[in-house]
Amino acid sequence: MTAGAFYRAEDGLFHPLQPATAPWTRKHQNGTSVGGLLTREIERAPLAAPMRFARITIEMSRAVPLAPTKARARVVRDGKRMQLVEAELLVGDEVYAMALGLRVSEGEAPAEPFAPHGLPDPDAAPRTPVTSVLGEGWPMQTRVVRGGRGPGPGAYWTRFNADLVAGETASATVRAVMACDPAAGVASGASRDWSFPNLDLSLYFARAPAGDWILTEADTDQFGEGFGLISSLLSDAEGRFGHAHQTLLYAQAG
Amino acid sequence: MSADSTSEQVRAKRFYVAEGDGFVPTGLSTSPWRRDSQNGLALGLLMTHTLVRRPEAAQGHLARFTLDILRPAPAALTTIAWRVARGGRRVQLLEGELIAGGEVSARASALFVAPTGPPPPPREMHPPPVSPEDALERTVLARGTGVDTRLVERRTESPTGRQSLWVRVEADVVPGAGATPIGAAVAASDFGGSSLRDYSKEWTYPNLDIAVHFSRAPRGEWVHASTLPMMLGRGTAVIDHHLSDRDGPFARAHQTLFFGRIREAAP
Repeated sequence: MTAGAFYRAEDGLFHPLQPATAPWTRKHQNGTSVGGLLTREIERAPLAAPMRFARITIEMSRAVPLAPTKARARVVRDGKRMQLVEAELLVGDEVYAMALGLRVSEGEAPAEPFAPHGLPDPDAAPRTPVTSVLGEGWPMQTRVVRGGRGPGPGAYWTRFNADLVAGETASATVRAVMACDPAAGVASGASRDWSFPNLDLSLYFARAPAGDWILTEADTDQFGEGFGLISSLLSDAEGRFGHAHQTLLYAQAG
Repeated sequence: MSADSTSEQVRAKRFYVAEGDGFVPTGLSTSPWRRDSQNGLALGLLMTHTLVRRPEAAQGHLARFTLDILRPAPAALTTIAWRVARGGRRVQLLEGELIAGGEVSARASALFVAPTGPPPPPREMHPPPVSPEDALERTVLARGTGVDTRLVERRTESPTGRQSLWVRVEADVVPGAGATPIGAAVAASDFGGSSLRDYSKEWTYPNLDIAVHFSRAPRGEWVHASTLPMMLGRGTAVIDHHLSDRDGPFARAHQTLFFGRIREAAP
């Protein structure tokens, strides 16, 4: 049972609600919401056979205004065992954010054990906020289990208790995208003297995630060229399932 | 014959020959999976060869490069078209198409960033522990393939389970133009399959994509790839590469490998 939502769908448009507000300006939508909506749109593209996400690359360098938003998707390549879909978010006639999703069919393949994360379960960790807007209690619950708010590295569990779109249950894949977007909160690569919006978000899946809680283990490389790279390992209750990256563009704050 | 003259001989080889507005693949560009198609390493080299000559490349740092292979690219005249999908003062997004034999065979995207103002204090950087000169004995590709590979450590030899490999593109991309550091980075990101050789008797595992996320501009010819596959038995492997040059880390890269039993068709 969830309370509230990031968006309300009406007349073919997504109306952003309070949880969709960007932390920097409050006149735009935040990356968690934008990434979720784009992933949902790709997920809804028709499939001839069952497939799961192998990758999604989300372009969010242009802030999306806090206004009714249209989402649309187009299949770029429909193969027997892979599908490539692009999606866009528009306000009015203007495209603000874009994504490219690669989906694959699940065939037989060899498996190898992957190292466990070794971090506490979410139920064993204290409640701690990762961002200032998406607080600890609602619309998402977060448990920081390594580091804290700062340059990193850090790790946090996320569970959503608001719908992405009111009345719908979001898939674990959509929630994984939403969960790792605030990773700069625990791994900014810089002190608070810098702002560090992320320009993009990319996820790589070795399997589809499952369950409520998603763990993001984030670390940031930046070597003095004014931009940084967050690299995250993603887990659910069963273990690690993928990687995520974000490009940060630094600017002196204030 | 000295190592230098061997290297010069290989450089006389090239992956493509320019013809009009396009490029004709040579034998170096042949796919290991299908002899009538181009290999992913060559496609990545050609895409980056044209990318770094775009004006946007002079104005910012490449932060992200993705290559999606839509279908096998036939070994035929190949053209590349880049367009600006998003232009701005601080961020430019380019999208490219590779057309081979008249059909779009691959798509690429490139995100350039132009930061302003002073950067935050940089993270400390450490070079890879073994240099390419100290890794002379083992390769993962035969000589004469246009790429010099120096295997430092197999996955089975490493306590972390990562393969460690130095890669240098020896042959020219087109006559007179060698690989740029960005091209070398994309080329080194194509070696995920070499970490899975124990599976090669039973499985094919071509890659559907290459994605490189940069944390700084790479320098020099040699790229070190430290490689770990995530294989959870669900049809694919996600390859994770940590890329470094002689100075230290500069990028992370991934490939999606698609498994098929030998004698099954590629995707």
